[in-house]
Amino acid sequence: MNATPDEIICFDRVRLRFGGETIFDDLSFSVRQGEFVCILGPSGCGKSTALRLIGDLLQPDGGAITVGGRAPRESWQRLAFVFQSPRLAPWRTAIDNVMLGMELRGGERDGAQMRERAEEALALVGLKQDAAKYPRMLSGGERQRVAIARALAVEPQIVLMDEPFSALDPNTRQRMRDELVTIWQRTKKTIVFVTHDVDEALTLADRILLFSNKPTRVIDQIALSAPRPRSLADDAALARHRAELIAMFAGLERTGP
Amino acid sequence: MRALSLNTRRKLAAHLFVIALLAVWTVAALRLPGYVLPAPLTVLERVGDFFISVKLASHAAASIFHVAAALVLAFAIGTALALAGRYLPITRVLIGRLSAFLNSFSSVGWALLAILWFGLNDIAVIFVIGIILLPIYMINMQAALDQLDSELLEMTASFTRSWPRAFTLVVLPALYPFMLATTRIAFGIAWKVALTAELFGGNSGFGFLVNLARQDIDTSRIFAVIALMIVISFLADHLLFAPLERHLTRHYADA
Repeated sequence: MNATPDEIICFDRVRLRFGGETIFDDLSFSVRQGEFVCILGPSGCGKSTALRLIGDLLQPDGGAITVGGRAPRESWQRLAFVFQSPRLAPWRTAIDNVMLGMELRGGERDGAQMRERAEEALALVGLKQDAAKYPRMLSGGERQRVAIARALAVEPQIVLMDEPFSALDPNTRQRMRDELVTIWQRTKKTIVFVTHDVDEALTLADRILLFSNKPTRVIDQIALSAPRPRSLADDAALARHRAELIAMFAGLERTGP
Repeated sequence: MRALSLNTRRKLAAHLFVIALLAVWTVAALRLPGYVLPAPLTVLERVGDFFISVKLASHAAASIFHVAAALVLAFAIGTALALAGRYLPITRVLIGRLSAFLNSFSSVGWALLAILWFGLNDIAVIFVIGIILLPIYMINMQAALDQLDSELLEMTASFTRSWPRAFTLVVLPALYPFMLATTRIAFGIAWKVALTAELFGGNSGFGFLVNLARQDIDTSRIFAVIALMIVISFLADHLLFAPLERHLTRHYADA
C-alpha cells in the first residue's frame, strides 16, 4: 500500500500481540490530512490500542505505521490526545492545566505567550470565564473541555480522541459533539475519534472505519458526505447507514469476546 | 439556662478534665517528696527558666536543630531511594531489604553504635534520628509512587518524551501530599527518638538535659523538658503541618 501525499496516518499490515493475545493480525487503514475519522467497533476490539500505536505509547510487533510520513516515534509532537477521562492535574487551575500540556511539550514559547495561547484555547471551548477554577469546581463536561483545550493548545496537526464524551450525560454529550464539529471546522485539524456509539460516529465523521472483533481488521469503511450539523432522522442516507451499522454492530457484539 | 452546643460541652468537658488532673497532681505533690513528683507550679517555674537562661534555650534550639536536620536528611535520602527503586528496577529488591532491615533495629542500638562511630556530638544524634526516620520515608514514598495515577502518567507521556519535565511538572507535585503526610508522622517520631539519641549520644539538647537532671535527681527539670517538648510538637503540628495539609487537601482534592 503506497501512501498518497495527503495521507497523514497510515497503518500497513500492523500486527500486535499483547498478553498472549493477538490484537491486530493484519490491520491496514489510512487517514487523510484534515479528515474527521471515527473508529467504530465493539468494546475490547482494540480501538484505543490503535490510537496508542499512532501516538507511540505502544509499539507494534510487525507491519508499518507512519504518521506524517515518519515513524510514530519521530512524529509524536504532531499530535495530542484527549482521553476518555479528562486526566487533569487536580492541583492546577483550568488554565494551568491547559498550560501543563505546553510546558510538558517544551519549546521556545515564554510564559506570557503560553498563557495567551492557553486563554485562546479555553475561549475556543467556551471556558474563558472558568480559567481560574480548579478541576473539582468544574462539571464533567467542563473538565473534558479543559482536556480538549489542553490538546489544542499544543497546536497539533492531529488530535486523537478516545471516547472522550462517553462519560458525560446525554445532553452534554450532544452539545460537546456539536462544539467539536465547530472547532474542527475552524481549526482544520485531523481528528481520529474512537467510539462505540453508532450515532456519535454518524454525527461526527467524514468517514467511519468499522473495526471487527479480535484479531481486529477494518471490515467496512463508510464515507459520509451529509452537511453538518447533521440530523440523523432527516437525512435518508444517514438513516440507511445507521440501520446498516446497527445490524452489523449487533452481529459483532453477539460473536464478540 | 440555655442548652450549650455539643461542641462547647465537649470543650468544657476537656477543660474540666485538665483542671481535675492538675488538682489531683497538686494534692499528690503535697504528699510525695519533690524528687518523685514536683508540684505543677514548680514545673511551670522550671519551664520559665528556658525563656530566661540562654544556656537552657540553646539546648532547646539544639534539639529542634537535631530533629530538623534529621528530617531533611531522611526525607532527601529516603525519597531518592524510593525513586531509585521505582525507576531503576534492578535496585528494587535491594531497597526493599534495606528498609526492612532499618525498620527492625532499635534507636538505642543505633545510639550506642553512633557513639562509637561519631563520638558524643550533634552528628551522632542526627544520625540516630535520621536512620530511624529513613525507612519511614522509604516505605511511604514507595507506596506513594505505586499509587500515582497511571492515567495521569500516560497523559504526561502523550505530551512529552522528556523525563525531567514529566518528573518536575507531574510526578513531583503529585507526591507533595504524601511527602507532607509522611513528614507529619516522621516529625512526631523524630521528637521521641531525639530524646533517646541525645540521652545516649549527645552533648546538647533536651535528652542531654534530662540525663544531667537524672544525675542530680532534679525531677522538676525532667518534667519541664517533657512539658516543653509537648508544647513544641503541639505548636509545630497546629501552626505548620495542619495548615499545610489543609492547603494541600484543598488543592489536591480529586476532581
